[in-house]
Amino acid sequence: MGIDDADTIFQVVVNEEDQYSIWFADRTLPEGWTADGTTGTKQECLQHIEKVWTDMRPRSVRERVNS
Amino acid sequence: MSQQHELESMTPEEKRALLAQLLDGSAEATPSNLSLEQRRLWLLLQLDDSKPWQVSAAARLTGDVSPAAMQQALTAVVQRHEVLRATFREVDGHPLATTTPAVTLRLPVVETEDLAKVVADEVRTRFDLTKGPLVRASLLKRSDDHVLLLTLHQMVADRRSAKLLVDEVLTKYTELVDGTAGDVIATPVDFHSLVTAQREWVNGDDAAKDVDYWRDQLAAVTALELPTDRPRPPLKTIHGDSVTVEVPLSNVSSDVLLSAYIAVLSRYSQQRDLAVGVPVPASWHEDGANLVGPLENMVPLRVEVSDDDSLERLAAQVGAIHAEALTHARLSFDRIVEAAQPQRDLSRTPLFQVFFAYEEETHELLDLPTTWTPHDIDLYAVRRNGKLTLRAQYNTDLFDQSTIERFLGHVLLVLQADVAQPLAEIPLLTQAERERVVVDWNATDIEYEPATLHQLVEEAAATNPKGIALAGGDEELTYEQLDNRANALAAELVARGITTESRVGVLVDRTVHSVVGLLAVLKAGGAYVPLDPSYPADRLAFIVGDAGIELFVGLRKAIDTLPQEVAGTDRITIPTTDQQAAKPEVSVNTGDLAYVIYTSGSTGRPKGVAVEHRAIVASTKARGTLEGSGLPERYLVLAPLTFDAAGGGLYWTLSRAGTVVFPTESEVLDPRLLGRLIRTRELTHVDGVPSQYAVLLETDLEARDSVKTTVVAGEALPPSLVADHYRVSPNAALYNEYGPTEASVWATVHPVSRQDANLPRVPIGRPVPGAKVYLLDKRFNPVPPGVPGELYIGGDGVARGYVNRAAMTAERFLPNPFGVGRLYRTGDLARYQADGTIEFLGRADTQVKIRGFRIELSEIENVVLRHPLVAEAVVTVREDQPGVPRLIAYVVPVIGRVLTQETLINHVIGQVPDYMVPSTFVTLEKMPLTKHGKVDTKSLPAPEVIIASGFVEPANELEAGIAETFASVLGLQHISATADFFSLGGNSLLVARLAAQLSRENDIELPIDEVFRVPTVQGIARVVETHQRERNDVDSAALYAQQVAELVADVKLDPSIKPDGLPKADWFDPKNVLVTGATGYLGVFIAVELVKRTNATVHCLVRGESADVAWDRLEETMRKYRAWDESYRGRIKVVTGDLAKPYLGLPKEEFDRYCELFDSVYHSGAIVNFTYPYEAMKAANVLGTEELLRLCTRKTLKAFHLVSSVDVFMGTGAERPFTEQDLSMRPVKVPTGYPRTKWVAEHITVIARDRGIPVTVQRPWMITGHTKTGASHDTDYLYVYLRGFLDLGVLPLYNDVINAVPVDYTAEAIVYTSLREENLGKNFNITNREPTTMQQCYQWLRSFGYDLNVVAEEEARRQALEVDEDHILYPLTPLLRVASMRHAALDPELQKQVDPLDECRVLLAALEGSGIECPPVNEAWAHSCFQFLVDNGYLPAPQDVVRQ
Repeated sequence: MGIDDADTIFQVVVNEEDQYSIWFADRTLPEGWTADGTTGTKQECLQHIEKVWTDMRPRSVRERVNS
Repeated sequence: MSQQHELESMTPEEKRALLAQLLDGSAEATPSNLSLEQRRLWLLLQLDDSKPWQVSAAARLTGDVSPAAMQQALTAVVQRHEVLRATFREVDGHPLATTTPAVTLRLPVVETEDLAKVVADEVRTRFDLTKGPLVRASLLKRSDDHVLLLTLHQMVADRRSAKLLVDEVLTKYTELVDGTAGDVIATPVDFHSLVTAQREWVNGDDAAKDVDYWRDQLAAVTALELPTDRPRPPLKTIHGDSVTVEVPLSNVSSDVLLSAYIAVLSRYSQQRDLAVGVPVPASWHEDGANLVGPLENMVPLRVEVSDDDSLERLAAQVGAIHAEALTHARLSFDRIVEAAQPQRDLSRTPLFQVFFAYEEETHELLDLPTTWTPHDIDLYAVRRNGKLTLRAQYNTDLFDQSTIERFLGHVLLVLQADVAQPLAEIPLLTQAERERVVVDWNATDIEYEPATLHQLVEEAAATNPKGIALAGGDEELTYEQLDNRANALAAELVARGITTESRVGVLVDRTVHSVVGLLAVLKAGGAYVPLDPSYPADRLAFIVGDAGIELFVGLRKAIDTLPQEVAGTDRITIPTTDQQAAKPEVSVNTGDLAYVIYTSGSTGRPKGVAVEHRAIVASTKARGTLEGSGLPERYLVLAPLTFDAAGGGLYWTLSRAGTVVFPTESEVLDPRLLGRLIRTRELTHVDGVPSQYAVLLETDLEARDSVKTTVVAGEALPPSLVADHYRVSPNAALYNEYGPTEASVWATVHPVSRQDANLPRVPIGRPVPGAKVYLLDKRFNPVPPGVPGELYIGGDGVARGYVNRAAMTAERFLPNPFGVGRLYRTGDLARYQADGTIEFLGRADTQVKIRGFRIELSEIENVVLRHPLVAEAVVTVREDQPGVPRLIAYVVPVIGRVLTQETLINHVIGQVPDYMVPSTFVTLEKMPLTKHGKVDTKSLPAPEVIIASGFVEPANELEAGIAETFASVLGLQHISATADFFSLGGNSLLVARLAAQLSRENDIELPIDEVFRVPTVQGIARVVETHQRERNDVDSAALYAQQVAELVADVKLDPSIKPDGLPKADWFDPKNVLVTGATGYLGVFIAVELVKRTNATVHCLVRGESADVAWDRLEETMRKYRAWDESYRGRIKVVTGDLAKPYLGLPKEEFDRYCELFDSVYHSGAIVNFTYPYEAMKAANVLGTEELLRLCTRKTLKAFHLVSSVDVFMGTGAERPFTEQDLSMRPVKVPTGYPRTKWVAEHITVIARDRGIPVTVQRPWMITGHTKTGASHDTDYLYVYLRGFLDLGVLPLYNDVINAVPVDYTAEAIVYTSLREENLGKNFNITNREPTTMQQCYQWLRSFGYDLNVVAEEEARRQALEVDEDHILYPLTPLLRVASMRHAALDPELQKQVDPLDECRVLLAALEGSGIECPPVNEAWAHSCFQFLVDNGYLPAPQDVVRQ
């Protein structure tokens, strides 16, 4: 179940700044991250992220610019 | 092979080669009674007797021991094994074993406690193969036990045999002591029957099958690359030691032990496909196990480890491989090596470098101290008395004991883990170790005020407004200027709508203005994207689109030359004059984007790394750790601003109010100029890529004393560079930095010490303040020290991500399970040393660094693949020449199509930066694949760089030398004289090296841009020639000045020689005149002319022991030249003297008498010789002139007429026309020899004239035959020459002008002019207004009757140079050797441009009305001259010349 194994299951995670990443599905979430509910192979998770993470500005920057 | 006698005559190199061959195992067996192994060992022994080649075994005995019984047991056992009684000698070139019927082996009893010393002594004590016995035994008596120690030569026993023998002796001993005698042990087979069986088998089919098996099994096996503690010696050593640990497990099989060993080796080496050697018991006979001898074979087990393998699964696999291997194990190891043909490598053992053996022992054998070991690591798992131990014998030149202890600890960890757990998931750390690695080694927190990047610069500017912030080329900016200009530009940017998150493309170069641009963007709240305007248009356009660049900022020139592709983007120029502007009111947060830097991306497109203020500020603040070496007063930023590496020194220096210095492009390219910059600017900090620094050290040999700190980063720092650094700059600190753009410049740093030069690799150190570094395995487990892991970076410097690459950002920037924030996954492999220092080991993927440039090979591959005719492409880095990595692209074209290197280069060149263009494209029919179907990069062929057609050989020695330098720099064999350095794989770094080397070799200063301009051998040869010529010119100017000084030094006249107050003699109607040189040709006619034109008595200065002899010589000469008339007898007298002596060699009173007597002096005397050096003629020709002038200024003031020579022109390279003015003091060419004497004499005469002495200077031209008599000068150069060549039967073809002036005219002119007052002080050229040519002369020779053979001048010269010593031409050979016979001034074409009048105007004016005229020379005159010479025997008569 290595990070580069094709069959390793990951989960899509997101932090307070709305930055996305992936994490091993069977491991506890590191501090500051929440799961967005998507799990799958690395490829599947990354594809999901590519779709949902369209504004890559950190949340704090985005909010300040928008205000 | 009859090697023995040949060995003695071998050179050390030949011996080494044979040794390598034997170590690889290819010694062919020849008829002999030795076994194959013995035969191989025999040859090894002859080659290398430094190794012990012996084996020991020992057993511990408790309780009472009977030495007598032991001796008896030993004797019995030795008698049982024939091989132990063998000796070896060489007979007729072949080794031969002789077995003696019986040997007596003494068993000494030694009282000792020091087993190690005994063993060491054993190793030192060598056997004599010819004497035997080749076994030694001793019984060591210790305080509470005994040890039986056997040592055997490897020719008679292997390790297994030694143990077997100890076992047998002890068994026999027990029998003897217990009285249970009897032949319990079966008689072993006879060793020699085994040798025979071996021989038969080797030549049979089974052996052939085994050869095939091993060839397949071991195809493309690679060496195990264990990370070592010290560099691997190029020639393998055997120094060894061992570490033993107990295995706290029972019931563990040998296959499991071996598998755990393999699993850890795989983790350490990061190799999944590896080979381990195992022993094979002799299997030639049923009871072979009881046979003693060098029988033990070894075979490699090649194992592939998968990430999913558990120990259980791996053990099953290993067991199967082992079992199969044993069925092919009769083939001796040396034959296996021969079959597998591994790459020869003298630093390693062939096929496998690690070994494993499992041994069960019945008697309590002792582990003897290890003194030498054959492999990198040999692991012995020994079960003894129910206890299992692991004993690792290791090479101490490679590993530290602590490393091996850790290694064994990891084997134990694997053995103790769940056998079903995937091996890759077994953490190799205990909890405490994990805490240390993860937390303690990352305790890097620092406190600082949060700030924006530009704020750091603004604060420094406020403290030091007048300080120089930036310098580059001729330009400098103070902090005030920088800040004001940036403020002004920022205001303009704000006005154009630049705000938070806006991206502004800054066109950067190496001038101070670029920083104004960067800073302005930050002040406006935007993020800058540094762009090199020279990027290919496609790449530029891509970045503009990808980053969403709204505006370009740049210098006018850069903006104007932006390609069409980005025409749509707005642009503003950077102010290059001072501005007064306040900072725009913009709020910038530390989380805002500061810049985006593009790096190579694996998809074929570059990727933009987005960095926030807080990250680069953290990175800059962290630099405080370097302050131990002083503040950055003057920091050289070598990296271009398009790389984040430039940001380190730039912002650190600008935040500390120091001066950032940018090199110019030529300073970057030419390390010698860079060195000069460092010295003139007194730079304190220098920062660059190691390869760049290496070239600087190599080529700039002057000290750079101002440098306090050198920082290298961007690629691995070779230990040799550390040594070079400290050798050259012992007082400058050296830092090795590591960090990707994604971690903001740097993540780790290592203060490099002198001792680091001895390491296999220089560490990258520890995390910088604020940075966290984790070395993780594939499961995200931290790896323990010694084990490679992938390097992840967390902490304050981590970038925001990749612009527009959500998936890639998510994949590379991962949650940090050890703390907060994100971890950047670098893809770099590293390991900890025991103390936490990190060593960089390489890349985990295809990213490479060349000259510090980060390159994704897949990016280049993708670009190549875009060419429609390319089917497959692989780009690799090859280092065919160590230290010179080059990018090579391998391409398989679409079937049926052809691709040229040119096509491919042109395709790639517009799409990637220069440094990413492969230096060579190799076209293949198909890619070599591994058995797993992957491209076998190791089998890709070395690029063939010699272009078969169009190879141009170097034309001369210079080109050959340059070609050699090209070749050595490029690591190639042959270089065509017309091949382009860059197309052969040259790059800017190699150019620097090339230029430096060529400069050294050709002793010139070769500027680098010349190499860029003409990058071929031929081109450089022209440049070198030009430079050498220029240098020669400079040299010759210096030489000329010196020579002129020497020449002029002789132009002096005794100050006492002056006319002051002297009564004037009668110059125009003289009573007594003195003529020198009257026994010479012209002198004769001058004397005669004086007799005719004056009433004076003509006194001739003639050398001779008496007046009579002198007179006879004079009269004889006059007669010879048909000038004598009896009437002259009373008018001519001799003065016996010598020009070359003071006072003309006259007694003082006589000299004084003459001083009173003479009215004038005609000085035509001189030694005329064109081959003598100046010094030889100086006394007569120069000092003689002074003496005569002395004469002229004693008692009375006399007139002095100097007969000079046309040679004052010819010998000084003077330009035509030769005028009658005074000679210049700076001749075009410094005259030598005879012309020099005349030149100096003339100048001395001029001095005399200027002092008021009445003089004329008469310059005869080529004095030739008398118009009435044909009397010619027999020793004249021309006649000697003519006569000599006529004798050779050839005449050289050339057509010089001959200005022949009949001697009578010459003499008349001299005497006539000398007697007229108006001529005093004048110079006269006595020339012929109608010169003829050599060709004309040849014509007259023909009409005179000579049959001429005119040949090419060179041929004539060649023949002339070969004449014997007695030949008339011989005295002229020095002249002929050094120069063409032609004289530039005598070129007929030149003659046409010269008005002959210009050369004799003064003379003709003086002669006007005298009736004296120079007759034109004609055939009749010439014939009369020839006739004169024939009559006097100087020329052969035409009828006497035999045509050869």
